[in-house]
Amino acid sequence: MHDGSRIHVLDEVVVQPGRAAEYHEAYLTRYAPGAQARGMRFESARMSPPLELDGQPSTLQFTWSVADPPAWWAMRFAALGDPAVHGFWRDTAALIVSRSRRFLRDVPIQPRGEVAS
Amino acid sequence: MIKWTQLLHLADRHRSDEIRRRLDAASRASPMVSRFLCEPTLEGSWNGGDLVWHLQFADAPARQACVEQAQWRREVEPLLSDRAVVSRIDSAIYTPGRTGTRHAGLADGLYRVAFFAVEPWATREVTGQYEQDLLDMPVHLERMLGWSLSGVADSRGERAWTHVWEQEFATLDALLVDYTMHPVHWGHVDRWFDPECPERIVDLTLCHGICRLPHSVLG
Repeated sequence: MHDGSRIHVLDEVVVQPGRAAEYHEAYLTRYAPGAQARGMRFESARMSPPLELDGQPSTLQFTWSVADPPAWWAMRFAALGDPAVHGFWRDTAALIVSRSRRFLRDVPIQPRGEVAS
Repeated sequence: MIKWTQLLHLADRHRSDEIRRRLDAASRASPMVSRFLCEPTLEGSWNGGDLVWHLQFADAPARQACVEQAQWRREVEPLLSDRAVVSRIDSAIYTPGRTGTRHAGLADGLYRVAFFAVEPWATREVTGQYEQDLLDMPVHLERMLGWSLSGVADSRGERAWTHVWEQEFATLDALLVDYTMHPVHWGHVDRWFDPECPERIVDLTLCHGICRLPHSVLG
């Protein structure tokens, strides 16, 4: 559904070989509760390749959303003042190869013939 | 041209009017000052102090001559060096960098100045990309009527400030709503400032001061 105000937050983390489960667990237990308290709504967690392969990194995607730009700034400033947030990213840095955080919003496009829900 | 912008944190905010009047008078009486503003910091500022004092000079010798005036030494220096009056000053002296304006004669508007400190480990290339992202903001923000991004030659205060980002708006709404809530801000430029983004290169301590703008200082 298109929601012009809602902002999606996409964390994409490339995890060291063999560490995906450990990172997943850390993200969901150490990061997610605080994020929810800052107004972020959990949307999804995905992994590619869809199984861990020996000696190969895994890419994890965590998607969140916030209601609108004021909620985004509220989340942003709440995180700024929370040492647990910085602690999480710092402590898990050794598990990852790289990571990115992107912000997205819905756009009102859809394939022809589809009916918007 | 040389600019000197200072954010004054007052020890006693009840003296804000008096101090502002004295600095305003000293600026007005100094022939080396080509343009200035001295205004109380408005609500919505962050770590911006209580007074914004912005001075412009023809060149560095003119600024030096200004601070060496007997009247300046008698009136301004004791005021600013008295910790019982001014508890902290964040200050930047700089040659104006890339500047643009849509309304050179703007009057009764709003001035916003930010001091940023780019981390010393940021590469020149990455810093250049961050600077370009800031300078691209006016393309998306039509109600930003003036803007200037400058590298700092001489810094004082809570950090070694590397950049001054100045803007002019007609209204507070244009700054707090249009500028702050636009996707180019939260979705693109803020990553340089956000500690949750790996691209961050700007120190988390920054100054953001807003004040009334009697007449444009960027146009």
